[in-house]
Amino acid sequence: MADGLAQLEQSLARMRGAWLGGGSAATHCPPEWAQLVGQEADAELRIAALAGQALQVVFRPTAGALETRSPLPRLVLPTVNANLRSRIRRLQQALKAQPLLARNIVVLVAQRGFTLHPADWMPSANDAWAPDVYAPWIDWATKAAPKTGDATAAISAETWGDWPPAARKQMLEQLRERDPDKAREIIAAKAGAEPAEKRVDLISILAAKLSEKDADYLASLANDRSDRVKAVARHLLARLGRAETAADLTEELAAFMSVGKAGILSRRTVVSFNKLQNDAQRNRRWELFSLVTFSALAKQLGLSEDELAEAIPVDDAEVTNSLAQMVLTTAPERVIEPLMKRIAASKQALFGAGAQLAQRLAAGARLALAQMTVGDDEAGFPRTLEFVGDALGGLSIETVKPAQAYRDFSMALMAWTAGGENTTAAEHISKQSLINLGFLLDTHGAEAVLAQAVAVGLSPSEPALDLLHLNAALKPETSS
Amino acid sequence: MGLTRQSIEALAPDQAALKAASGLLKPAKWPLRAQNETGSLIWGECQGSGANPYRVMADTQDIGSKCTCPSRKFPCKHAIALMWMHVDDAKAFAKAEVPEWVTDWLGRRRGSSGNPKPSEAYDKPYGEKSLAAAEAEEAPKVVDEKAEARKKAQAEKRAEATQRSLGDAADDLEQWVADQLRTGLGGFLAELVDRCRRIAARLVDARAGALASRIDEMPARILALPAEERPDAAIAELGKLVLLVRAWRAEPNDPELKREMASTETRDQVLADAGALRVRSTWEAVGLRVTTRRDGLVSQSTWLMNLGEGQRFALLQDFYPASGGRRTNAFSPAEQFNAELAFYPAHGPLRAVIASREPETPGARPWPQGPEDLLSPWAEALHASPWRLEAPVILPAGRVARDGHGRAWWRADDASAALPLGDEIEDVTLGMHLRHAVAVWSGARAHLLSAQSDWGRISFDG
Repeated sequence: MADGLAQLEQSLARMRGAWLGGGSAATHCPPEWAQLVGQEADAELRIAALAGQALQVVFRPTAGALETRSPLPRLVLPTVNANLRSRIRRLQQALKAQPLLARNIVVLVAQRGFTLHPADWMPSANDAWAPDVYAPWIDWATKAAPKTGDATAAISAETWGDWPPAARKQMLEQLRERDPDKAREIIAAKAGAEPAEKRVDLISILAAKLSEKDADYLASLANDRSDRVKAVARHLLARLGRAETAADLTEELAAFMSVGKAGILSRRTVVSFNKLQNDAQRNRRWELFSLVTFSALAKQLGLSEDELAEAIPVDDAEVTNSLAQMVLTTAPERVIEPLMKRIAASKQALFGAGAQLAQRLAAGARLALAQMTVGDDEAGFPRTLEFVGDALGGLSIETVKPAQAYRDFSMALMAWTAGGENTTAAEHISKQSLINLGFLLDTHGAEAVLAQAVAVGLSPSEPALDLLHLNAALKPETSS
Repeated sequence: MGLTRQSIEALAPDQAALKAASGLLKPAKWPLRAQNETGSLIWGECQGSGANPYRVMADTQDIGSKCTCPSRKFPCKHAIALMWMHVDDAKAFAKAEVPEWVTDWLGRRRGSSGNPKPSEAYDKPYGEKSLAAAEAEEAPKVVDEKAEARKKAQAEKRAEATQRSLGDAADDLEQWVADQLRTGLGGFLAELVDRCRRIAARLVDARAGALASRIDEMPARILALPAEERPDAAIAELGKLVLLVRAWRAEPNDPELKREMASTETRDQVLADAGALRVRSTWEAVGLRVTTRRDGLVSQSTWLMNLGEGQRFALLQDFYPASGGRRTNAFSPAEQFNAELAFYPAHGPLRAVIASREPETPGARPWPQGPEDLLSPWAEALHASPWRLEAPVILPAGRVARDGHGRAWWRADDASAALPLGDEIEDVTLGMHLRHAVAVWSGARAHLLSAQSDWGRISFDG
């Protein structure tokens, strides 16, 4: 049988060769075929018919070496219920042009304790923003070797190679929270062998629970071959008050400010900014804020870091916004929250510096800040989303309702559903607000807005309500 | 203003549309009629003249509607009939969750601005359009026997002319195939598109429309393969053409061969054919594919798998002009339903129409096991109809892997079989275990339709 097949294959190869060049296949076909087709004028057509059938039926594909991938890892959080998937796909499609909002779907789902189906969304190697739960999929997508060795073993310098990169980073982040010294020791021992991009990621882990004990290692990175690594290390050192800034730059920046006292009784320290004469000065001051560290400035002004955080003016949006980058990168952890509270209370720089500095806050603090500011007349929902960051789906409807943005939304919703000549703007405001609220509110809040929308005449099937429906459905009992 | 008989009269494009809609008011024509909780949305599935059922939906508040039929009238008779039935008996519409295809339509609507406002609708003169008149029984037409005989004679004459023309087309095609072999397949492959287009045009002129379409699509099938496989694909294609025209010459009245050569029977003709295979079972939509052909027609193919006994697969196929716009799939992926299918007469039946469908959704049934030799259905299909271009196959447990060129393959878990895949496969599929899959095999490539995987059911056709 095998011989027969091999002979047929050889015959077909010769026939193919003949036909390709415009020759006759009659002399190359198997003898049985020759008998069958005879010597008629149409013999070539008959042979083609037989050859075609033989090629299609007799021979089976042979694959050669095939590369199979390891199975897609199961994540620690369950996949969303199958009946939510079509809604999620519709939302992904609807938010395709707004990638930051599209990301929020992934984040919201993770916040509620679920993950997306891999056919609906898979992170790529560049999706560093993806919630930690997706680390195994990032490693899978980058074809990193899966975890080897003892599955329960703790990460250490010795077991470093047992973990793929994303999972390793996640392990180190968790270890840093539990045992900051141990995490630093491992990073110090192993980061040097990683590429620059990975080194940046690893060293950035030290931002959490940053302490004096990290200073020596961070200082040692001053000679790292990557500028980005050096910058991250310098910023972390600055937060510890250890980074050196050229004295002339610090002096130059301090010269833009005056330190004085305010208040009749308390005589608290205040820092005021001198009036600028021209745009050149304004630009220079802006530049100096990116070159001078927070602690160096405090020292130059004769203040402690805490005193400077208390004395910085927050009632001038331009000034506060210009120093936000310095605070974001170099101010010590302990001054961020009090400073944010001052900014939030003043409201003047809330949506420039405030939104920027919120990145330094933990999820709980961000949510608390959002709760504090969402009712503010100035606070539009998109800005509140900036404050919230990844802490999506946590605001109560009671917190949101007093907001001017909510009142605007309610009015727009009624105008949209009432119809009329000029509903386009109302529809636009309503749809944007429904999306923002869908990301901001907790499940109870989402249900309340859904009820409100339906009560004023919106169809429950209206696609603009998709996100609120998803939000409301993302409860623990919907797990698959 | 909501939906009323008056508003339907006002919206209907003409009295003819109302009359046509009146013929669709029988519940038997509507396997599905449903509404949302508030009755503001209604939808249904109507078995029209195509193989795939039409999906019809309407908003009872602003009287917007949509139907997947190719009619250029708006609203079409199906949408009018749906709204009409709802006005007459809303209770006949089951309360249900709004399906995805209705929500998709809502999402794509340009608000309600595209629909006639009730006030505009009532401003239109609609006195000449009347539901009552449409419902009225028409007097039976008097049969003119002489005229009928004349028509019959003319039809026979046309059939004879067509037959002669098809004979000429068969001769022309055979000569063309012989020319390609004689002048060399190398040149044929180099000028594939032009040469196929030229003969296809001649075949259209000779009334061999189906044959022309097949040849018009041949370059796409061959060029989708890597260069080293194209000569064999060309030999297979040309060989099948020879077999097809010779079989037709031997049996010019064979329904399958007539269909392959010239044109397809209508749905009514298939349903009226007492000899047509009929299979009543639970069917699952395992593949939904919409492609635009070179001749400008859009081909809508729905692959159904029989979850019970008997004929395993069915193909519902419709063609409509691309200018008709994008059409919603007639089924949702994984949709299971009980129906009787009538198959177009064929040596290996596959193409079918839905003869009747039960409105109730059956309980989820598992997929059947495929034969031990997974390509035996392909061999059987070619044995019955050697000109067949593809056949559905059930694949056992396996994985998708890539070869050294990065091309995707499906491989059985026990490595007993491997099939090269014809479509772009997303990497995530490589991480899944396909416990069971359905594919269409073309002799050179498998096109995965859907699979049961360790991550649930996966559809590969979007």
